[in-house]
Amino acid sequence: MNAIRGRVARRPRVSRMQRASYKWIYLFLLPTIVIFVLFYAAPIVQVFLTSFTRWDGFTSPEFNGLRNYINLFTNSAFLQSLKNLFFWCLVAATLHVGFGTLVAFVLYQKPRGWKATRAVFMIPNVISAAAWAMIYRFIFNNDFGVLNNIIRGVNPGFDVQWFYQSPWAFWAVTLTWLFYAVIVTLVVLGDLMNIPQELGEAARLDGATGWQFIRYIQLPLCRSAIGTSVICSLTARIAMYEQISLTTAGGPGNDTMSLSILLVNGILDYRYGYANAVGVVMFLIGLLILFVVNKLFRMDESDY
Amino acid sequence: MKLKKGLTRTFLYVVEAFVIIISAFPILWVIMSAFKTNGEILSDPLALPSSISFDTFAHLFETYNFPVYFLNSLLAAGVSTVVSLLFYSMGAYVIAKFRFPGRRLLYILFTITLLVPSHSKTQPIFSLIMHMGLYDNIWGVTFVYLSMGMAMSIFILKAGFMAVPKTLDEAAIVDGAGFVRVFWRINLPLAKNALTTAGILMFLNNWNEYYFASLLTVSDSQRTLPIALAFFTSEFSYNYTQLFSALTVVILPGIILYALAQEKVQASVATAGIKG
Amino acid sequence: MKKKLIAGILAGSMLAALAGCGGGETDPGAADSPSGSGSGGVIEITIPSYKTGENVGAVFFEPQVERFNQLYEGQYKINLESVPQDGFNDRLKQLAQQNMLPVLVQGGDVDWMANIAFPNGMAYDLSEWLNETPAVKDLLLEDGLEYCTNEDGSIYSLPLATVRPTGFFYNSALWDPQEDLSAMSMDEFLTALGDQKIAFSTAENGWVAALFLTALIAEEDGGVEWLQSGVETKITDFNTPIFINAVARLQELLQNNAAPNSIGAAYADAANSFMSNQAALISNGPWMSTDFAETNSANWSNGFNGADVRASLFPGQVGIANTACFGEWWISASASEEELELAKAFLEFVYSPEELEAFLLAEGGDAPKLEYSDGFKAQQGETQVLADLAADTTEETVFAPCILDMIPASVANSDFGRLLPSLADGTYSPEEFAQWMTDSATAATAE
Repeated sequence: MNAIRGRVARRPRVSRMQRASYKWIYLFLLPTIVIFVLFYAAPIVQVFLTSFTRWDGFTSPEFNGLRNYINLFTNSAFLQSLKNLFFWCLVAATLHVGFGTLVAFVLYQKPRGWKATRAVFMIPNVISAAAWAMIYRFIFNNDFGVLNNIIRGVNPGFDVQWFYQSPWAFWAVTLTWLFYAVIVTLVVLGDLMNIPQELGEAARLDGATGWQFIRYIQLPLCRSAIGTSVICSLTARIAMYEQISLTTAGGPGNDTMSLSILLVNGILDYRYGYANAVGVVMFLIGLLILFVVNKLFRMDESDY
Repeated sequence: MKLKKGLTRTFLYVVEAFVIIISAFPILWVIMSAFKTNGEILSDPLALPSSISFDTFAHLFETYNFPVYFLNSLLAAGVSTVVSLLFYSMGAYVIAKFRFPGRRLLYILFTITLLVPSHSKTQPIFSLIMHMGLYDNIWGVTFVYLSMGMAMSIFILKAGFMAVPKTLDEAAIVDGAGFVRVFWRINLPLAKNALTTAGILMFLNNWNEYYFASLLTVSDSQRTLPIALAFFTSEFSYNYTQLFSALTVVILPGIILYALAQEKVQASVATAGIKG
Repeated sequence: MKKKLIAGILAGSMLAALAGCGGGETDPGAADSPSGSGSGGVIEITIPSYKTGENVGAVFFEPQVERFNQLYEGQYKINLESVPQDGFNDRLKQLAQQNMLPVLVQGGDVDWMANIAFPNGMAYDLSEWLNETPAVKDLLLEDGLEYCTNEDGSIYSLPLATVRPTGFFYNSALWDPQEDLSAMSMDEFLTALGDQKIAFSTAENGWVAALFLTALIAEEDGGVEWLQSGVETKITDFNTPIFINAVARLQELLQNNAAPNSIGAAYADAANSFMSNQAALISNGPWMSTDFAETNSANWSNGFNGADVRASLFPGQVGIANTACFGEWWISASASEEELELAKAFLEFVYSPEELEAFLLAEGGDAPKLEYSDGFKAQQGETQVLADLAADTTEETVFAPCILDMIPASVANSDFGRLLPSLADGTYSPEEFAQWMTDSATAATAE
């Protein structure tokens, strides 16, 4: 095995290209920088600054220190949202990304119909989140929903309001996205296809079994793709809004509350400072996730 | 050995079947429901429609200008995807391959765009589009879509460029290729998988985008498909048949487009790579 | 190479388009901005409205604008641009910030109008015009006029002339009490109801359930006053016997009389359950009457017949309506002289006796200060449910504002509906529900 690993070990960075003029480097970055400044710079600054103010979104904000944050951290809905987010992230990082990766590896074997499967897997992403939520309300409906009618075939007395009863609601919301991991699949599949063919042959010569090959060669080489997937799916959990607001709306009680719903509620009440404090918390959690995942998956390093 | 191979095959097919069922079933159900009456949908949601009638669809096409919406969606999502794919691959390329002052900071800045709640962007974007005189203009929507998916695209593209061996770059430089040429002829074609993935994701995201499209346009001639759908999901609508018909009309073009494009996109990128 | 070419063309054309549109030409967007065109003597404006197309409000509103355009042909013209209801208020807020409000503004978010738009001078003061136009002013509801008049005498939102009390509809094929239901007490009413089913919506904001809860609160001693206290400052304390008792009765109804599938029902589900004979009763506004007309029969099922539907106000002569509220229309402060002329003509037109009568016939309600024509009275009898409601609306009618309008917006939109399922399945007691509402409202208004 060591022989194979040796072949993919990192080469020292070569600096010939480094000497290419900085002019080109910054010219290449320019369009992205312009877009960043136009669309993102102002909102980011505004969110941070106004989170320390009382602001109705129109008249000028009044500084009120940490008031918004104190209100937040004493709000049980907020604390429950953090807890929910933690569990959703846990599920996303393990089951969701795991499933997407599994499908990628399955498709990489190119079984019959793999292209069709890849295309069909994409369909849920072609449908807007609002439409999905509606479809799921029908699927999970107690009386005429698909799921309960199937379960009642086995267990006639079954009676559960998936979206509206503790503790099912949390899992019902989870199921609306859990298996739709096509982004993970695409990203990982892309990386898998980038692995040079010679590696596979070399491994076979060394007598590696299929499982060993996956475990010691393919998975490590896909780590950047898996890291990207983890980041995307975790940040998607932070931003998740329609899947909740159009199904359980955060209920029953606070069972499925999320930061995004709190943020929108703040705007409904014209408390933009408070809403932006929620935004800052979402932002910081996202930053933490980015940092940890980047370190964990060593995403800055090239393998080739 | 043979048994094991058989088991592996079976496993592959089971996973494939599961993926197809969970992805295709809901959409088939939506299309089927579009042909049922309100009462049928409510009383027996799994049953097949009792008769096939295209009346609701006819009504939709008479009342709404779906071909225009389709073209607008295609324009906004298509142009923004192509342009931003170019922009972001340039950015991701230099971040992936070079060391330069500010690299780390810029990468972090581009990445955190993922974390800006879209509600916080509303006001600045609205005001920007107003000042550009692009309110109620599909190009304004297209312009806004350029900014969507920045972080994710840069992640994916950066990983893609990092996977292109540096020896190839060096060889090209030895052959006298300049900066742009190394990017365009060597790296871009070889990062085709990342380009395709990022492109597809950006396109679909923009294709489905509702909020900014509805905020920034008013006229019928500038409308996109998701806005048309919103007319049927308003607060007091209870007509499921019409709703599911509208959903079908809005969703199907996306799926067909995707099915057609997937092969084409991959094929064209592949040939570009060979020529390069 | 081909790809490069395409990308180049696309990028180029895009830049060209950007430059072209930014270059000060009249772009399509300007059609929406307050720019009356004086050419040819016709003053023309375009306003965005959600009461168009598939929206329930379009049935009356679109032809009304058409009638206005015909009446003033060659002089004024209003063009409608249909926008989805979802996001309409957001758009107004953004337009206001850019100082680009349409000449005539069709409502908007109440809190936004009261706290931001009007205090910041975005609206034209209608008080002078109203004084010069007694034909309109004399028709306005007193409560409304009082509410819309500011301390300095200015009036921004044109107060309503009509009140449309919300009651409930019942299916006489399933349940035919043959009595004046609004004259009963709530107890008598519920006894008469027996085990007939009520359609409730508990998802979204729980609209249909909230209406019934409002009626239950209004029946309690001091309930109406308690609700009305929310007009000035939103209600944040729910730990009162009035609320707890009403919630307890709602809980009983949810457990014993709710139509199947009421838990988690959106408005659409509740409406469908009524229109498929699954429930004998549904609370809703008079505008629902159009759903029971023969033209809508394609949406009925399971033997439901719209002709069987009757309507009534709630027991104790309670009609749900907030008379102390903003009206539907206001005029942007940035309107030009010509546009003001048109806008005033339109408002006068909408408040003319003929138009008010037409509105009442189409969507129900009552114009207390209008002397009805004979033709109107005859026609009103033709739509059974509207006639029922009109008959119930008398001097004795008690108007109670809907609870959802009297509590902080986020509580009405999110917290209330979120706990209804738990109230229905008994996980929460009425006292706990009241505490939950109090906590939510406190959090929503914390400084």
